[in-house]
Amino acid sequence: MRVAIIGNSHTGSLIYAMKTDPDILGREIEVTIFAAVNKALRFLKFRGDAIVATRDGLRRLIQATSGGIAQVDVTDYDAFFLMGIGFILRPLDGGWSTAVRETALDRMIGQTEMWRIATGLRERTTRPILCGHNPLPIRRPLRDGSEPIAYDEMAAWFTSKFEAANLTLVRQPAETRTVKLTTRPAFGKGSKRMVDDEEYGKADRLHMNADYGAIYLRALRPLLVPGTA
Amino acid sequence: MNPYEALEERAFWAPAVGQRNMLDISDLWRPRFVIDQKTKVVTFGSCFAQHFASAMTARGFGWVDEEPGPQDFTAADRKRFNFGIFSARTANIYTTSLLLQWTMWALKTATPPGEVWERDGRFFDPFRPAIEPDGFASVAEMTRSRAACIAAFRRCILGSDLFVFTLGLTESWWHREDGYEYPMCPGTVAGTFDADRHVFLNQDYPFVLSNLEEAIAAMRGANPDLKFLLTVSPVPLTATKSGNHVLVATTESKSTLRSVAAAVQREHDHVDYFPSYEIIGSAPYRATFFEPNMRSVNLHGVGHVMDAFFAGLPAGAARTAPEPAQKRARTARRAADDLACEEELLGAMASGLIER
Repeated sequence: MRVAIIGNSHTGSLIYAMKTDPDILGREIEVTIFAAVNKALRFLKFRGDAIVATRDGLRRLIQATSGGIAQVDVTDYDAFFLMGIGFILRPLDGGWSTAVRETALDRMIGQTEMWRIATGLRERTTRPILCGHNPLPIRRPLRDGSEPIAYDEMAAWFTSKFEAANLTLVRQPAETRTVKLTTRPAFGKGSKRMVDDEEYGKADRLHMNADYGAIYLRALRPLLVPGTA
Repeated sequence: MNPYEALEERAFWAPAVGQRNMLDISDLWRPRFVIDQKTKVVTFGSCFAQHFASAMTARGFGWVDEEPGPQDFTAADRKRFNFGIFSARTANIYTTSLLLQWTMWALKTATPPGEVWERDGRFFDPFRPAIEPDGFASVAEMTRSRAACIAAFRRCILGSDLFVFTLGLTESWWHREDGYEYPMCPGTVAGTFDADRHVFLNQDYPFVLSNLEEAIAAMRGANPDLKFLLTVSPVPLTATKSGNHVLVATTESKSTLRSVAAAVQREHDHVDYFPSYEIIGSAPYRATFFEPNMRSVNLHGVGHVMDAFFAGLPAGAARTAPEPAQKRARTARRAADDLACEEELLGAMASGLIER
């Protein structure tokens, strides 16, 4: 089974997990990763049945993670996993109305490059397209008195949204999350940039390490190959 | 030497007004206290107060939004759901008694009544009837939303340096038995009018004054450093229930509000008055700053008022120079288009634009 992973810098945690254990997704799954920093991914465009980089810099970044492959030929893959690409879960206050929350949730995904690429892929293939959001940050300031709605409530809404478009939401594994809509701090320690092995450092609160990537990939496997949980 | 001989030029009509082009009338306001980029400013009141928020933000002042809404909202979403219009999502606070009512809820000396308005399975907040375009999904949701707003209003009182309040109306509607005030007549924006329960009150000078004094005192009790900048909305009434012609009613109402603002300013060093009302509405400006309906303030008026405000501040208080005229016109037009004003709905009813 050939899987294309298209993602932003958060794909790094998956890359380092696969370096540690190349078979973590299963030996029958052959992965090609097309990753780059988030702001460059807006230059990914569809050309026929391929996703191509329309900037040289983006092309070089993608080739650095894909083993030299410059574009995603849709027909070459049996499944697609999109990581991040602007899909960020932000807290929604429990004091807001359902209408406010639903509008905000819709904007959280509808305005992203993730949605553009996912729906563009769906127009070109019937194969599984899985979508995961950026990891929750390891800490975040909250306004006094703010009581964010639970992760599960947000995920349930996104699940419906994605299902309506024949896409699949990948939830952040429960064991990596806290009730405060953050990722457990241990998963931020030692996180590294995708390409150059450089650590993000203590100030970074957004990127996760290989341990996180390993848990994520184990959760992803049964979604790619049903019955393998 | 008589007492007038030593006065500045600004004290005399001819040199200060009569012999000048209206756009050259200057030095209308000298602030009583420091307002600069470090000043945490909150804005509430009538529709016209909204211009202060956008202008202060554009000039690098610390306008505080304690209920900013979802980060992912577009500008259109914010407008639709009334976020970012005032410093909390109170909607318009037209009267000084409504200001006192919100203040008492925020400082927990009173609790909001349990009244809820329902229409076609949707629920409306009697104290912010247009805050959600389609109402709330449930009573609990409406109550949570209002509680969040009251908490935000409380943070505004406790955490800001300057409370800008625009006095808008004297005409008001009350619950006859329980003595609380609605921002709009029940049955207009939402709810159902009941002559047995709902009573009209055209507030007189002592009433407006005492409510404003009480509100300011209560807020200063919670935040002794809080200062106030009062303005009076120059926007005429959309409709009057007073029995007078609406033009006569407008003059009476605005005169009362203007007098109260002056009285409170004279009485307290921590209260100032900014003359946006005079800039827009007084005779030397020849109604130039009104739209053809002689009610809505046009973009030039908004820009001129805010220029006068910033011109009154010490040099360097504002971060940026005034925008070029064309850009300022665009900004002001956008601001005028974005005004959220429930009272406008009364006018729309009169013109048959919306159903009663």
